[in-house]
Amino acid sequence: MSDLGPPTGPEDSDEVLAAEYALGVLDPPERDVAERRVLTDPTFAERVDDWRARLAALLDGLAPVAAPEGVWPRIVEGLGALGNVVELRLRRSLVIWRSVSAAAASAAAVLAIVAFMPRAEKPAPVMTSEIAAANKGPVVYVAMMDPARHRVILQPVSMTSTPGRSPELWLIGADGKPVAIGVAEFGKPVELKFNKTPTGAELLAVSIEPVGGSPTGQPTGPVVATGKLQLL
Amino acid sequence: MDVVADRQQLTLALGRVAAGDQAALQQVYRQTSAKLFGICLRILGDRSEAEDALQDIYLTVWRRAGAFDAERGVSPITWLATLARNRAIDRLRASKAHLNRPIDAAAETPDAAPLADAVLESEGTYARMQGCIGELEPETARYIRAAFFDGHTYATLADAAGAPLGTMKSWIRRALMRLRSCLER
Repeated sequence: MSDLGPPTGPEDSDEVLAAEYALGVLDPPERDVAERRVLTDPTFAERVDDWRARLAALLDGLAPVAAPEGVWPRIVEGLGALGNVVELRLRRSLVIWRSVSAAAASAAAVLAIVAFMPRAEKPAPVMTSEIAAANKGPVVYVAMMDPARHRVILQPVSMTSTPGRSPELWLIGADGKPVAIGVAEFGKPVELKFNKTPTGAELLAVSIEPVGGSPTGQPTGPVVATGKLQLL
Repeated sequence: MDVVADRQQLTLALGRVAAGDQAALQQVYRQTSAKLFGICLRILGDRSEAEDALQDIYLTVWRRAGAFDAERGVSPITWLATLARNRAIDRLRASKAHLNRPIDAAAETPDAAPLADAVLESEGTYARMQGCIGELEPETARYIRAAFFDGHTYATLADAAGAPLGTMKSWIRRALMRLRSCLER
């Protein structure tokens, strides 16, 4: 059998990173970078999925063990507590969302936002982003970003409220590190200010956090949706 | 038993779970909890930790079933087993219990006979995986198992092996790429 040499190009190094991430052998900083890649790069996410499927064969060697009887009732209890989780509602709304024209609906949402934008003295590049759930899920927010004035308006499109939680908006640059922009609302548009000047190559992401936003400065809850920036 | 039909049933059940059907979750649980509990026990090595992990895993299935994409060709049991393994490893790492595990522990675990129940076998690739792992350097194969089952990372493996970090990385990277080409043969 031929022995492969060290990785030679970006494609190979992505393949190695996907394998290392799926195996779980990366140490925390690299693991975080790979995790962001999974969230923001579908090709990379597919590679990770492929590696997970390969490595799952190792799990087939383990003998099944009957689960103790008390576990299922505890799961049912847990379901009651979860109740109104956003991710689930997103999946449900996906069905409804697909029945309307996604493009038309989000265009309407963008127009709705344009009305909110304060008129600039002179035309400046304005960026928009459709922030959608993973796996080509529904658009949950539309963002209008004014880089020159460091402002972004975040308009909910199909976001369902979760009591006791806040959605938070993040800017993810090429390094894969999320920078907090601010805490948004589930049901109404908000205008947020930010310090960093986006280049347009970043992604926007929304995570579900404790009320008031992430306590750590990094996403602590599920990232429910991401979107690319584009010039309007 | 019709494996294809049973798998299809599991896929459909996950689809219903994604739509919020609790009875479907119970069906998934009945069909898969023994396999997932076996995974939790192996990784966590503690019954009560494994029970907590199992509860957490099915609550995650409830929330994330919509992310299971049967169209990509991943079998439902692969998806579930991977989710269980990853959650159990997260839990193990949070408790830092893995830091006390010798690298050899993973190698000592006897590989049980492949499951009689083919539905619960992820891709029917178990035997092939055993063959391909067997083609690696025995030491490196142990490191890979220690990472997969015991939450070891490059840093803890290098430490335990008394090897430089860069050396450990190149051993494992090369082994992973060899594993892939062997599995694809």
